[in-house]
Amino acid sequence: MATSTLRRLLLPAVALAAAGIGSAAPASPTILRIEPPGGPRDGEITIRIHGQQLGEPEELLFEDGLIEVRSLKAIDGRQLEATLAIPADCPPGPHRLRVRTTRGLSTLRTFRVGLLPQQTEKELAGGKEAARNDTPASAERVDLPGPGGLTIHGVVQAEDVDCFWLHAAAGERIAAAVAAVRLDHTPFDPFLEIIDADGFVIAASDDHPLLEQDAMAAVTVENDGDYVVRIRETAYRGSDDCQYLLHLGRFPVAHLAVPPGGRPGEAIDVEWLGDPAGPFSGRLTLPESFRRNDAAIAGLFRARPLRDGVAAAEGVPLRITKLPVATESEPNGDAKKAAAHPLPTAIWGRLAEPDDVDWIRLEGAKGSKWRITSWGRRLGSPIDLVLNAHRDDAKRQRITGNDDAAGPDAAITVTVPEEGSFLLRIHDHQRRGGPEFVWWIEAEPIEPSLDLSVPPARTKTQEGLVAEVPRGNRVAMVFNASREDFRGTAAVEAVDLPAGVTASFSPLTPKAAATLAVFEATADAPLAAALARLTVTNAEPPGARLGGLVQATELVHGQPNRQPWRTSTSSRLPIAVVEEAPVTIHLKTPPVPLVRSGRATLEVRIDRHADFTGKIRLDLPFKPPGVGATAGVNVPAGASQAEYELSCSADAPLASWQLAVAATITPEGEAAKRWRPMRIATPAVPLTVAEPMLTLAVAKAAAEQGSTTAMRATLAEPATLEAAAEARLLGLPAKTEASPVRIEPGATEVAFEVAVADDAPPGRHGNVICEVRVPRGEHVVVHRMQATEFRIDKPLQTPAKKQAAKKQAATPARKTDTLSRREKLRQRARALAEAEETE
Amino acid sequence: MMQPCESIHAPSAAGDRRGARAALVGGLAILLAAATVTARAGGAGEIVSLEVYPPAVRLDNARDHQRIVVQARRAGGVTLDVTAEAEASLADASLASIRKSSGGDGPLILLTPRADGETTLRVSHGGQVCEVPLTVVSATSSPPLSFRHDVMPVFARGGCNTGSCHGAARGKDGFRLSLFGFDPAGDHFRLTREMPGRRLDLGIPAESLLVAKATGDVPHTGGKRFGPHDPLAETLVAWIAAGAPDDPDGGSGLPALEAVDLYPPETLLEGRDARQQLVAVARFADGTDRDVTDLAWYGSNNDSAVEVSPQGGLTAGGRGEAFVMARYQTITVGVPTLVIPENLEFAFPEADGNTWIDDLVDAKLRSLRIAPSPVCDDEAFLRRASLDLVGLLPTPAEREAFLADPSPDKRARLIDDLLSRKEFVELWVMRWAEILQIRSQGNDVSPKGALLYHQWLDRRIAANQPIDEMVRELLAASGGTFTNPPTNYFQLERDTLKLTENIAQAFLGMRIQCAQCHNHPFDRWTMDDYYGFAAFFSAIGRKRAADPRETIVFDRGSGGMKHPVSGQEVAPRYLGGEAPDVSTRDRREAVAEWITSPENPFFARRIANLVWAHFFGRGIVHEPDDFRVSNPPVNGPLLDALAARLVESGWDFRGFVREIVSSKTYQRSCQPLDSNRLDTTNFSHASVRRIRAEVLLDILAQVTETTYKFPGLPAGARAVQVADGRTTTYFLTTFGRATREDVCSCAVSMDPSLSQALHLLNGDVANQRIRSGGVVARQLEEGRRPTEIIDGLFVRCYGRLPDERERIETLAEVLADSDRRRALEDVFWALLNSPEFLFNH
Repeated sequence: MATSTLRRLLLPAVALAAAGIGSAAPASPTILRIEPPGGPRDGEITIRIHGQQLGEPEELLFEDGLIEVRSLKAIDGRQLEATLAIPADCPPGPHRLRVRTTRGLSTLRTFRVGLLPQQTEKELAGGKEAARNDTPASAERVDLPGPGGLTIHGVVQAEDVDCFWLHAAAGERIAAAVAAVRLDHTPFDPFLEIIDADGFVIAASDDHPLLEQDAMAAVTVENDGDYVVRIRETAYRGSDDCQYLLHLGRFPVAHLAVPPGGRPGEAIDVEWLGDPAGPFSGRLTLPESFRRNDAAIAGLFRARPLRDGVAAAEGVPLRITKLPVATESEPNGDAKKAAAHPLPTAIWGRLAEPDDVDWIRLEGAKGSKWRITSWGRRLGSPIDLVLNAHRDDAKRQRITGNDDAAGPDAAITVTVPEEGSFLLRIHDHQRRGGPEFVWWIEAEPIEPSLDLSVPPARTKTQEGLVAEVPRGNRVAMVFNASREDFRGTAAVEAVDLPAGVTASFSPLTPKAAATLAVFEATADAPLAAALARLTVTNAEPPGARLGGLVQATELVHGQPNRQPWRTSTSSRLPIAVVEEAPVTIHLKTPPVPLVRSGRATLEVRIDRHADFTGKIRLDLPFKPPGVGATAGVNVPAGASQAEYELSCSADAPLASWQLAVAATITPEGEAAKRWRPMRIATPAVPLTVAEPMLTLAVAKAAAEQGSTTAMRATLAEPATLEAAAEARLLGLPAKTEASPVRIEPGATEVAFEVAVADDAPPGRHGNVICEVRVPRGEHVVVHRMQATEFRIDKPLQTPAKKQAAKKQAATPARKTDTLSRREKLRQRARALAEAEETE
Repeated sequence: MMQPCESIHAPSAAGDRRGARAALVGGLAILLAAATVTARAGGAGEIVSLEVYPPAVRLDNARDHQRIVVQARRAGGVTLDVTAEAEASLADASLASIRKSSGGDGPLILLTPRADGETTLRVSHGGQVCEVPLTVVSATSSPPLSFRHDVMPVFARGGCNTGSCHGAARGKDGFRLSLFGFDPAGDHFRLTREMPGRRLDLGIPAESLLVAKATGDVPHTGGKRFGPHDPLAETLVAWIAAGAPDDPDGGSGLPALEAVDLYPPETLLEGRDARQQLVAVARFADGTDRDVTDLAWYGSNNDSAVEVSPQGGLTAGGRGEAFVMARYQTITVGVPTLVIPENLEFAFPEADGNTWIDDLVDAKLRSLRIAPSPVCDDEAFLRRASLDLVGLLPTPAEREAFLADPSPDKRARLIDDLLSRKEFVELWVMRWAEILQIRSQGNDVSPKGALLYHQWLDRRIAANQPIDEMVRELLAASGGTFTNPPTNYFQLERDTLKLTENIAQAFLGMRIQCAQCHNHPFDRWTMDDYYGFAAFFSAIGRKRAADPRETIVFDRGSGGMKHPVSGQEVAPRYLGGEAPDVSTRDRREAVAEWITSPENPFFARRIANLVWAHFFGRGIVHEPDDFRVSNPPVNGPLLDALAARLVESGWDFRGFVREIVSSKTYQRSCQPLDSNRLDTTNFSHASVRRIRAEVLLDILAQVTETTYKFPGLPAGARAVQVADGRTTTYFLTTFGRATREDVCSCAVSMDPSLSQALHLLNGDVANQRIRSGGVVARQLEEGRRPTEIIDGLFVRCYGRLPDERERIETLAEVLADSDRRRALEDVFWALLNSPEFLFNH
């Protein structure tokens, strides 16, 4: 009982956490659930969006812009209703969606477009007790509107089972496919069964190779009769969040295309594998380009195979590449028989039987670097592909290898050895094989690239993945740089920004692992959103494009350890202009450099709206390498100035950086009615990390309690100073004092007088630091020197005292009854022996 | 009537390390055969045969000697130690000398060599004569003492290397020996090198601390172990005098100890204080043997029946049976011994319609002079069989139909009917799920993995798949934990050594845990055996699959298992068997084949015992997964026959269960007779068993007509169907349901507890379910009279009608209460809280 309660409590909690809600009230809107989570194309559908902070909706933002929003209204702060028009040519599959309100952009969810007419499960539509469909006997009747079938939107509650029945004539086909985890809501792993009139399961599916945790099954029935399609959660879990879209009909259920890819615009003859009635073939023209951003990033086109004029309910992926495509030439089970292919190339083949190994010879310029990416599982093949590269000589020494770099697929990078060629060995990890064990390999040259992404958050939320810029204000974001074969400086630029928004990015110098972006909106910028593109180009020399944003959003987390089960990747950055903030902040450009091992103070000016006096908290979104700062600074209510301390490590790179301070505003009390929580930032200002102006080595020193000693410090070079600097010791032990000393220009040595009190703590005190404040114009550059040790000794004792102490210690404490058992035995044995002798 | 000695001793002459078992089985067979001949035993009788042990004598060097015991058998099977009275002579007296004395604590005939040659020892007593061959080899040579073969046994015999003495992990009083001598090289090092000059005195060997401590010459926490003139002390002194040498090449050139034979192979003592001396002979790989009667350690598993002296002398106590063991080096062997009262008047009842199972059970009972209880009545049988076979109570309608059926084969038909029900499958799926430990576990096994694993098992039991096939599939399973669910077994225990122990316990019924750190003191398993077996599981690879919850289990093809003493890599070796070539195949496939092969002496016996224990509440070996030399089956021939039947039938599980429940032994009444009242181990009457937690919860739901809701299972599922061992309820936990975290059969607790009683009395199980089920209310609405309802409740809960007194007293209570429903529900509650409901009988 305890378990079930816990689980019931846990499921919504997980959903909440996934949606980015911590203990505090969310600042931005959140989508928890979309009902129904998908709809058919070429039609209109009304959906209800459940979430938080959904009041004052401005827009329903489909990122690819293919679905038209006819109407949008708020039911209350937690629900919206929208009418969507889905065009006939809308690509089926998930479409990324956010709600924009005056407060900002919501978390990301997807809406799934299908091909089949859609209806709602009666159990869900008509009240839970009204139409229970938990057993085959109480199954809900389904009439297929056409051979393709229909889609049922339903929910699997805790330990719920949903049954649907339909009539089929002998020889007819029944197919079922379900989208559950792929609705990007919750880790709902469905299980599907098709049951005949006698109650026997004639087809079942748990995890379909193509559909992640989702299921798809089909069967050609032998007899006329009523057949039940049953769906449940695999382990009899379930909840209100466990929605599904069940496609029911007579469609084929292929999961693999052979060949599994081709070139853009190419027309190919494809054999579709995976249907229980056997393979079938058709002709297919591959598209020139992708219409959805995320599909383009994945590089996979999902084709809908046709069998007997009926289209599959689920698409089959094909890889589209601009590389020349070749086919393996069997037999190649032996390295000697490996066929040669010039680089670059795409090659496909299959491990036709168990223990099969395929060898390929790749030829390219000696010393050239190549990325070899394999595609197997991602194309619907059951293969667990392992890639190994070997030298193309008599010994065939292995160069490198990989098993699971790309999920179950493998990827390696190879530099062509002196032979001008190398061998690739392809096999299945478990040495399986068969007609479906198809593989696809792409070998591309490694070119300089630099991509950007938001640093992974500590929690698995979507926080910080979008920019919400208050009017007349700024926000800061940081993007990590992921470089390949590029060590130069790159520049970042944003295009397609919302009207009135500008962006600045700090340059990506070779030592910079990230760029600081500051987005600024004019005071009159319209409240709107846009999907900006970030382009990264080589700065020296300017021009060549290196990459852009590649941002993954984790949508579903599941066991174990809340790992991401579903992610969605995009190259666009959603940016929204939102209502004004009650505060603007400005950072004063630091007038002096921050020296290595030194300290600096950032001065922040806070301009408040007349109505807002509340607290704010400052933080530093971007810290240059080697520069440290506290996690945040609280600015008291009403304050208009704040300071932010920086420290620098001894080995920080010497460079100039852009720095901005960000602020989190959390209005409380009356202010909360007018202002919402939001984040803002200062404009970016330059900060230089420089060499120290002087170096002082403070020698170790020691003193007895109650004495005074000198701590000597030597300058590495005679000081070249504008004026005298002030040095003082920090970190001296308690009851020990030293006055500051002045370092005059040209000085080579200084000494601190250290006075030790009678009761100062004896021992070694290792963290004594010398701070030197060097004047520069009107300002001061704060230096800190390497720590040294100061030892406090107890005064030596006089001999008379010592003796007295010794005497005290020598008091005999031995008692007779502490003899060990062995000792007692020994004594007894001795006594007995003596007694014996005297006798 | 003189029997040829060879024929008697043939079974015990099995020339391998299984000698002990063979001796035991063979011995019992003779014992039972003898007992079967004469239904009436006891009392003084004529001596019908004479046996001399050992059955062949070999003297190998000048130091060698051999004790002889002479055992006479009276009609009725009672044995007598007649060594003292027997006449012994040699055909050629020049080859050996015969010394007769009453050394040790019993009489003995001692043979010592004089000259090489072959002759015959002739022993006669009471008109019976028996001859045994004698071979003398190297009568004049005296080989040097061996550290391993001569000195180490002194430590064992002296008790020096036990866990409570110097065999403790840190030794005792600064001196450590390896526990039971698992590390001879280490022991030699510690004696000679660890503290040079302290423990051994090569100059004056007799004053070595080692000797002085053992003989009590200097204070010794362990006291005096033996006297200064004891052969044990003499061996130590002689060895030290020779320079305390280690065996050349670490003892690798020494002939391996192959077997220890303990004689006589069986003994039936009559009357308190009857005696029998044992003789233990060690046999070595080079064909030599050695009288180790004085070097072996002896123990009895039932001191109240038979006591054994440190010199191997048996003394009868009260009526009963005991297994008397001797351990020499790494080998423990044992012989069965029975004690019957003197002049017992006993008649075994005539039996007809016995099955082969009954014959074997009765044979043992006859030898024990115990009569079996008669077969139970139809009502008791119906309830017992229903609970045991399908985990449910018979419905009133089923009971009525069964009682009304006049046909003689109605029990057989009922058994067939129950065997064909899906609940039968579910019950055994649950039992196997315990053995296979099916449960979800942290990040290693998700609830989905556990459910798939359970479904895999369910399909196999439902299809009556041969168990050997199923176990092979499980142990050799590779692939994803979702795509090939038995691989979850290797996720549930990822530690190689624990996995090894689990597999040995689950499928071979052996608890080899001890041998991880030292040679098993009460079994035959050495550390070499343990690590050799573990090496089969040291090449298991694991990697994450595409689904984050799934793991792929595969054969890495390499991965050694290091012996902790030698640090050497150990090759995979079957327990007590050979080392197969696994260079080109999955090691687990090889070991799975070995475990399940018909030649494997352990697997079928383990499974047969497991099934037997389910139906009798106690295995032929008890606990059902604790097979070891020192815990022999109470009825070896029965266990062997059951195991053989399982194998012969192609592992037809349903057929096997049918044979067991069709036996009269299973169908016996639980009412004991005078002669079997004290018997709890030999299946002379049915035992009263508490119903296990899951079944109890299910029958509570059944009689109250309510359903339970378990997380992770569809509504209406029964407790028996719970797939994930982690799913539990307060009731199930309280009543001792196995968590499946431990492979041990003891994980299922049948012990009663106060919380069980209180939960039934006050908890929601009885009270609330009686109300919510509305059984009484419905019957009142139908207008039934209280008597009818009371009768119905008795039938519902007990499978029988109330007797006159029960009916009248219950009715009086009900009529005295104005609230009829409440009163009747109280009756229902009282029935559910009675032992008759909670126990299978």
